[in-house]
Amino acid sequence: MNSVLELDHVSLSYQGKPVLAECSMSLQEGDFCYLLGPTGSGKSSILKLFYRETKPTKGDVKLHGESIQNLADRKIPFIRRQLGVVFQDFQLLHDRNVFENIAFALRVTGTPSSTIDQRVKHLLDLVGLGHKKKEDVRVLSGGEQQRIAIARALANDPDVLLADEPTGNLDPGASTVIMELLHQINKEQNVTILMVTHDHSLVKRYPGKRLELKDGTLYDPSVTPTQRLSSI
Amino acid sequence: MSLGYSIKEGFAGFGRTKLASATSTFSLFIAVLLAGFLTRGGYALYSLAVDLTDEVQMEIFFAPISDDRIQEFGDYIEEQPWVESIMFTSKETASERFRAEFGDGFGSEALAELDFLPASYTVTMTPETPIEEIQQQVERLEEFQEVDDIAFNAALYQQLRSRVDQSIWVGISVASVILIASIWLVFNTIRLTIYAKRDTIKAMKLVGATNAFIRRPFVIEGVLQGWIGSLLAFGVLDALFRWAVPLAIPQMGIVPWPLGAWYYLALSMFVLGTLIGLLGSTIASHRFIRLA
Repeated sequence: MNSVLELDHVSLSYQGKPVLAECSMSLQEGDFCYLLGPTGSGKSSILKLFYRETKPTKGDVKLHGESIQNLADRKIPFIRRQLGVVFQDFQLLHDRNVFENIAFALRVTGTPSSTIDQRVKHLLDLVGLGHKKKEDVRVLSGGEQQRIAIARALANDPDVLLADEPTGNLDPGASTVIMELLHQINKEQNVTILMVTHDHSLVKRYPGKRLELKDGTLYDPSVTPTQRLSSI
Repeated sequence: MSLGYSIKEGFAGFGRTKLASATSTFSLFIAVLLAGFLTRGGYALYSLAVDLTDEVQMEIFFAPISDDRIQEFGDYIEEQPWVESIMFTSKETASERFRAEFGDGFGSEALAELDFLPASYTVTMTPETPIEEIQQQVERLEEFQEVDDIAFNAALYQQLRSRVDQSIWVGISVASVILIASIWLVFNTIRLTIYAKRDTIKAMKLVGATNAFIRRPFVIEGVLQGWIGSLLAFGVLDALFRWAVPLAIPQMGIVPWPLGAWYYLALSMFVLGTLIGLLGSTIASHRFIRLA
């Protein structure tokens, strides 16, 4: 089975300060994986490597088996269209309404208007906000804004969704809605999800594959240290 | 990528950042207004200077020779590259003018009868001929036996010509400074707009928007600012020369439009405004969207 997301001995430094050291991971199609670790451990940096916001100092970053770290800058938008990305702070376009926020992701790919209307309606129904199509995004609750961000991330039908602490700014009720939505997308649409979080209670309630990041090193906590040593 | 969408966004962007757009449009309006004012005023002054220069002509007076020889000489002069036009004044016409100018008093009629006024050619020089060459031609023509005398005020001609040249250079320099300053103003305003929208631009990039896609509405916004600024500038310029200037300086009257019609200047101002808006926004969006 081909890897959808892969890090192969990746190291990363910011201004000479090491953040990741020899990290390797591989996610298959349909995986739901949590990326855990304390604040500042480099979890978001791993997502940035996948959407090419940053480049590794060493190693290989692969998307669908293709290395992306040496991709020309002009090709980065096309890589990002294959991914959906959601953030803790939603990163919506505040000068546009709900419909336009989702439609924008389709417009950049040159989708015809008639298709955009249908697709946005479908996505809004999926996240349960079909009735808020014309609302200003600034008046929506945090949970609703995150659902709009997820709808936007899914606009171009990606097979990978990167979620950077998507429940970090939400109350428990809204967090539950978001987690159920992400799991629904994972199961029904077979979208591979890599979710950064430090909320272990969520991981317990919604089980999935786990990777932990500690002192710049990435490891699978389900594998015992002895097993890890024997695999080297 | 839909051009219609980019145009719609360009117009919408104008409303979304009202203060920045208004500042940019105002600076553009001032630049185009100044350029228009200089053009109209400068053109009027230039025309006046050229008219004055044209009035400085060369008069070639002939010794008593036959009409045929004078005609031949006239044909020869007319063929010279430094000559724009010539006008012949016969002895008879010269006498009539003398009489008309001095009347019958002081025995002027009797003097005219003496037939001492020579036939002459009045020569208008082409404006591009250097004064040194005209002076050389004067010296050359004076050597012909047929020529009795040549009247040409070289000093006045030179002074007028150098004033015209100076005014052209001053006009071009001032216009260039205004142009560069206005492009810089639009450039900075668009840069500030891009800075204010950096989070939005970042979100756009995350969903896979190319720099060109993000840039296009900013460029359209700049062009729109150019259109509005130049139309306003033309309206104010027209009002200034139609009402304000004649009111303030009545002896000036209505200053004529360059090339004789209002639409040449209107079109030039519109094109200038569009170019400033286009250049300012294109340069700024090229430089700063990449970094946002």
